[in-house]
Amino acid sequence: MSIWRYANPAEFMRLSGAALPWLAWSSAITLTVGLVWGLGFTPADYQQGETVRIIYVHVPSAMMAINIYFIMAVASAIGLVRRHHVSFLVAKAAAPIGAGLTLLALITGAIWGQPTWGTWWAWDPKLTSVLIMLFFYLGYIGLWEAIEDPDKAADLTSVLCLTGVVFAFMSRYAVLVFGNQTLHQPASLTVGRGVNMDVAFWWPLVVMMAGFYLFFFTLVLVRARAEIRQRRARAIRLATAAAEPGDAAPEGAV
Amino acid sequence: MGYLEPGAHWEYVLAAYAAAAVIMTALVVFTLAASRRARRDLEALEARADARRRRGST
Repeated sequence: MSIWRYANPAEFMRLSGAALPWLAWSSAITLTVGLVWGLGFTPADYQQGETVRIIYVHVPSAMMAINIYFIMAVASAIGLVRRHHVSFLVAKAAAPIGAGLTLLALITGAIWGQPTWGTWWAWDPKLTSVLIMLFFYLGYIGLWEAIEDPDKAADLTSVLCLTGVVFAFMSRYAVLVFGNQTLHQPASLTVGRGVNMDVAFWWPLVVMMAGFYLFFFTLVLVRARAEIRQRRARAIRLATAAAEPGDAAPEGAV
Repeated sequence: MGYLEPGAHWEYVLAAYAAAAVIMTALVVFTLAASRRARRDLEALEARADARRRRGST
């Protein structure tokens, strides 16, 4: 059976409703375990001291900031090509979560930068790319709010999202592209290139990254379900307004 | 390096975790609020539409 059947709102609501309690509990448990492990049962770093523990919130939030943008871009591209409303709504649902986690990555990065680099902020290619990516997130959310026609908003926000993908790539690969011109160190872990850290830091970090993924999937499903309900409510309002033209147009109806 | 002064520097760790707690809690609260609002709106509209349909069919 085709995977596109999951793009049907009724099917999406059924499946997401069944998955949500599992995701929410897994997320809560994983984040709690990662937090207690990282804060209480890992050693201090020989150079950074206790500040190394910031890694357990900074790396997962930065990873999610970039990956959520990629997820939004893929969902937007699918929406534009196949005209599945659920794809647009998933991208829309993901944006506030991505913006929040990008902000968290920037704040925790600044807090970590002060004791290790000696500065809260530098106009470094990686840091600047992440900041621009945050502006794309905010622009995307603002554009959805600014356009009343949801179909037009879906198309225009998707184009905006795809335009910003270059900054998501830059956020991920700036250290490789700009080499020693960046203050930010290379990735601590890269698929296919192994791990550049001690196993004592690595495992709690993996748990926290899993927790952040579960946290994101939980929230994005709740938000996407809310978006689908809002869309259905809008359709009912429009149908009511068309059936009873004498009545005042309800709020939100175009 | 050279920027770290001696000491545990827990204040930076606590500040980072406090920021995470605030932002992640805000995301959860706003998400649940949006979900509840959408569900309530839809239920009210569906109930009104049902009532209208029943009125129309009698």
